[in-house]
Amino acid sequence: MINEDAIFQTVVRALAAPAGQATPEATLLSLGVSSMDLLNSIFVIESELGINLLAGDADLDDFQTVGDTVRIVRQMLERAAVAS
Amino acid sequence: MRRVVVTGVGCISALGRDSAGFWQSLCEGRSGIAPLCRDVDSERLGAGDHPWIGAAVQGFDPASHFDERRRAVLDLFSQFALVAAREAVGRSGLELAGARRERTAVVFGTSVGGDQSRDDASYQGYGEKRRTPPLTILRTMTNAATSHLSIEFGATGPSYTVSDACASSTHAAGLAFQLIRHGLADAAITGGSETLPSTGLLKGWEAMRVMAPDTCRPFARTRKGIVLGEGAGVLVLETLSSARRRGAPILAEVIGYGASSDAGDLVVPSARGIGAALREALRDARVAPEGVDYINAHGTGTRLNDVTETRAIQEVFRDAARRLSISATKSMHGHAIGATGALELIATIQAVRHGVVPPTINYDEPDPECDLDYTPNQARERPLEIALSSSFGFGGVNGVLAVRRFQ
Repeated sequence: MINEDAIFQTVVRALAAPAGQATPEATLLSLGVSSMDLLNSIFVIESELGINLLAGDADLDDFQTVGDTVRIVRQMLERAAVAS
Repeated sequence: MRRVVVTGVGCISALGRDSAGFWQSLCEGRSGIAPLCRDVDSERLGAGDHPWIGAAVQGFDPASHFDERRRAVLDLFSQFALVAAREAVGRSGLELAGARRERTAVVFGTSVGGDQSRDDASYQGYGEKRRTPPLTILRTMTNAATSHLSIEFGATGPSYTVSDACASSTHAAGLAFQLIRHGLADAAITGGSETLPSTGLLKGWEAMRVMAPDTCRPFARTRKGIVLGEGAGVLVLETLSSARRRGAPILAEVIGYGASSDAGDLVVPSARGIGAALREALRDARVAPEGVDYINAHGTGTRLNDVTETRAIQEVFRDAARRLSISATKSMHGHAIGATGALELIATIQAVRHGVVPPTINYDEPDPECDLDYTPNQARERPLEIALSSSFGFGGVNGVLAVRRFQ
């Protein structure tokens, strides 16, 4: 199972967040992440980690902060691990 | 009616990544045509199975113009548009703030839009059975470049995308000219952008048997067809009074626009249709045929276009056709389809500004059926007062713009 720090790094990279500003508390809005950027970031994360965001996992509105994103990705990874 | 002037131009093409390099290359008769060496073609078709030539933009590094997030949503055709527009708007000094934002339009041409992104998505989906990236639609949509231009510069006036094959950006500039002249806008960012076709579309061009195997030789007896190019040309148009008020550089005046449709064949050009657009441009500009010094011709290098265009010029200009300077700059920058009209309009504006007619290169043997002065192989100095830029596209769409040297 991928560790928390690796998930965080993957999320930060996918969000193309400015260096040093992507703390878990940072809002995506403050990082300049638009809904379009978020869509693309989710695609990048899914492709990189081999997971899929399914209907019911989360709405785009659930992605408010970097920490939210990490949490949702972790849940997706846990579900994938159980399924396999 | 209000007078309309050009206060800034910018371009990127096989002849350079700005308008100065473009013009210098044209004056020197330098060709941007070379074998296409794209990794994507080898990957999708197999090595050695793509003997194509083209006029590709060289040395373009998207990362030096756009950050990672921006690149994710920008197909190359939008990137070209933005790079050229930054140059044009920068040179013009046009700052969009307050009411000026609402009075500035964006009218932009492209034939196919984000073709490479569309090809990528198809290849990923059908070929590799992979998922389609979520920004595919936003990258491919034909109006993407237009929207990115309005966003980048904050132009909140009307924005229109014109897709009329090879006449796209000539029509776009013509419509922008009319919007300003008739008071619907005070300024416009206009022009066009196109990338070299994706692997899939290149096969389509090949199947039409209109591509030259070696180089582009407009109006020469030895011509064998078109050579595709790519790039973007952007112009800032505004009212003369606005340009004077803010002390903007005035490069030329746009004085007329003519458009027509052949309403005949999708591919075979019509001297009647081309002639109608030429006549309308002259009528609109209130210029007699004798008043025109130079035509930047459509001059694709196909057998049919060049002889038909010559015939149309002869019919419209009659005796005055003999004193016209004509050139086909596609022999250097290739046929950039939806961007080609804008690139050629910029060439035409620079020609009247500098009093230099760019050449038609690769003109190795005269064709008895094309017997006008095509400025063979070498640029020529000549005082130019009024010039035309012509574009004719598949589907039988014709557009001609008239410009005058500004004094």
